[in-house]
Amino acid sequence: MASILIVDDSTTMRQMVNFTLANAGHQVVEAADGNEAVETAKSLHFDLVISDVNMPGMNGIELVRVLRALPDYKFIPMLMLTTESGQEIKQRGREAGATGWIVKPFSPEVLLATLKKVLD
Amino acid sequence: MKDFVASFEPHRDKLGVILLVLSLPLPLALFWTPWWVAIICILLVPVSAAILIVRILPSLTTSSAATQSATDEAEIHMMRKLSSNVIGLLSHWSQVSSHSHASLEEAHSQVDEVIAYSEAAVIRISNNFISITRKTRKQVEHALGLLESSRTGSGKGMTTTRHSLPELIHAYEHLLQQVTTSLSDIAEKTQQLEQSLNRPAASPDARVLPETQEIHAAYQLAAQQAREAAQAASAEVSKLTGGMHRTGDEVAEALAQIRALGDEIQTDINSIIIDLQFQDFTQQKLQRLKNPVLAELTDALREIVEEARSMSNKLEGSGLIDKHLQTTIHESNARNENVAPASSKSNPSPGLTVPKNDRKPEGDESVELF
Repeated sequence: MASILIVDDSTTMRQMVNFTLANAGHQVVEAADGNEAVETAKSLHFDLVISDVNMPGMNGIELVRVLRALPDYKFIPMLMLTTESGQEIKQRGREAGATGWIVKPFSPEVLLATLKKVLD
Repeated sequence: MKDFVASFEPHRDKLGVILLVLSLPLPLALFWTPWWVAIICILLVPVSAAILIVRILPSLTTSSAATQSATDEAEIHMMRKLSSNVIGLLSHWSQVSSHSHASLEEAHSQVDEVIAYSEAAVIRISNNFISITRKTRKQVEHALGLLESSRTGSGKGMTTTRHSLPELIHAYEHLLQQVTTSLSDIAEKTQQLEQSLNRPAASPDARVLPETQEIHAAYQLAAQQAREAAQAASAEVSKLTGGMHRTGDEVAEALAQIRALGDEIQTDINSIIIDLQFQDFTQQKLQRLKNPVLAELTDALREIVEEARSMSNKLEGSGLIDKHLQTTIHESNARNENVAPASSKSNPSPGLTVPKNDRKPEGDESVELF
C-alpha cells in the first residue's frame, strides 16, 4: 500500500480523494495548497502525489516543477486532478513533469485503476 | 483707424467690384478732360469707394449683424436646451450606473455567501456520508463475519474451537443415526432374547412356565418400545436433517444477499463521491463569475460613473445650462454620492482559465497518462 500526498484547496475534494484512497488501504496526507505541499513533501516521503491545478498561491503545475527539482521526488509519480481539460494546460503540466492528468469529477474506480498503473 | 479698417473686412470680397464700377466713367473722361482733372478723378475713385463702404454699406452690415445676433441667440438657446438635455441624460446615466454598481457589489457578496454556504453544507454532508459509510461497512463486515463463521467455523479471536453450522448438522445427523442404529440393535437383541426364552418355555419342566411367560411378555414389550423409539428417532432424524439443511441454505442465501448488497452500497458510494465533487465544480464556476467577470463589470461601471460626473461638471462650468437645472443636477449627484462606493478590486486567480468544454467527462476519457 502506498503513501500518498493529496493537494487541493477544496476541503470536499480532499475528503473525497482521501476517503477513496484510505478505503483502498493507502496512507494519505492532505495539503491545502502548493506551499504547504512542498513543506510536507520535504518532511515526509511519499510514493505518489495527486494535485489540483488551480490553487491560491502556488498552483499545481508550479508545485510539480518545484517537487521535481527535489532529489527525492525526481522519479515519483505525480498526477494532476483538475477540472481543466484543455490541451494547452495539459501540455504545460506534462512539460513541468506531471505523470498523468485526471479530469474532475473523478470516479473512484478510475482513480484507483490509474493509481495502480502508475504505482506498478 | 482700427474700426475703419475693420469696416472693410465684411466687404472684402466686394472691394474689387466696387472699384471697377467707380472707375467705369474714367476712360471716357480721360479723352475730354485735362490731365490734372483725370488725375483728380482717379484719386477720387478709392475715396468714393471708402465713402461708399463706410457711409452707405455699414447700414447693411449692421442689419446683417442684427440678424446674425438674433440667429446666434436662437442657436445659443437651442444649444443650452440641448446641453440641459445632455446633462440630464448624463446625470440619469450616472445615477443608473451607480445603482447598477451597487447591485453588482451586492451580487458579488451574494456569490461569496453562496460559495461559503454550499461549501460548508457539502463538507457537513460529506462528513456524515463518510461516517455512515464506515458504519455501514463495519455492519456488513460483522454480518458477513458472523455468517461466514457459522458456515466455516473460523471464529475471529475465539480461543475455544467453534464448529460451523454444516459441521453441527453433520454431527447431529451422525449422532441421531447412531441412536437409531442402537435402538434398532436393542429391538433386534430383545427379539432374539425373546425367541431364546420361548424355547425353554416349551420344555417339560412346567414349574418355570409362569415366570418365563412374564419375562417373555416383558421382553416383548421392551422390543416393541425399542422398535417404536427407533422408528420415531429415524423420523426425527430425517426431519431434523431436512430442517438443518434448509437453515444452511438460508444462511448461504443471506450471505449472497449481503454480498450483493455490499456491492450495491459500493456502487452508490462511488456515485455519491462523484456527485459531491460537483460542489467544487460549481464553486470554481462561481469564482470565475466573480473573478474576473463581475469585478471587471464593476470597474467598468465605476469608470463610466466617473466619466459621466466629470463631463457633467464641465458642462455645468461652461454656463450652458439653466440655474434651476443645475440645482436638480446637484441634487441628483448628491444622491449618487450616497450610493456605496466600489469595493476593493479583486484579483483574478493566476492560471485560472475557463474550460472550453464543460461537459462531464466519462470513463477513461478523463484520464491521460503522459
